[in-house]
Amino acid sequence: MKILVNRVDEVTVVILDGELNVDDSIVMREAFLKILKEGAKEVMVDFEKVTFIGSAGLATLIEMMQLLRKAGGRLGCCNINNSIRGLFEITKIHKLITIYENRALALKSF
Amino acid sequence: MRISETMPSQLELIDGFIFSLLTRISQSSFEQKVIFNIKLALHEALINAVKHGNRMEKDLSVRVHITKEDGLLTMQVTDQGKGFDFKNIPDPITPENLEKLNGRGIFLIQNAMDRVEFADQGRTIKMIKFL
Repeated sequence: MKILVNRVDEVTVVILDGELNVDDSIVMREAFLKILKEGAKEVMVDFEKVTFIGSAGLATLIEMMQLLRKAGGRLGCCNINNSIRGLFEITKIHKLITIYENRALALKSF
Repeated sequence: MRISETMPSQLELIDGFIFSLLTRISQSSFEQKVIFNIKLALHEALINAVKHGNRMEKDLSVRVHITKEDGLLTMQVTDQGKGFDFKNIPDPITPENLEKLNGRGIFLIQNAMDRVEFADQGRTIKMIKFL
């Protein structure tokens, strides 16, 4: 998995490229923890190039949402494909993490 | 088509194992959504077998048996652990469980497949997809 981190004003944008399978969920978690350690509070994850996510990836997103909430920040996701959006909806994770249609709309709302 | 494979109980081997199985199962005629769901079900069943079933004991293995015939894909994953109470699986979408980090695997499998059955005291999960 490739992970690119950008800063747009106060928002940290995390662009993921690959599959959130067993190994890459660990890689994503490490990247998130590093971002949090550096003080990020408003984090937007761009899923445009993510083709798969399993329970390990979903768990990492929930954990990050909890850590950001505790720090007074928030986590959002954007550009999610239909299969992954379906998983967010059946697991009701879309009630915990706000989903935006695209990055521009997400950044406008943050 | 019939596939029978065994893998050791190591989480780091799951992704490669799934890739190898999917290459043999998938056909170009499969919709992306179907491939996604087959992959998701295998992913979750193998994690459960390695992590919760065999408790990552390297001496224990996970057996996978897959058949595809008459428009039916059947995937069976068996571990060598102690089994579990598959009749009392907590619902991960109730308000008290929604933020828990674990407990979504079987729920995801049930949503991805058309039929899910357990056997051998929970050591075997049988996942069926109508193609």
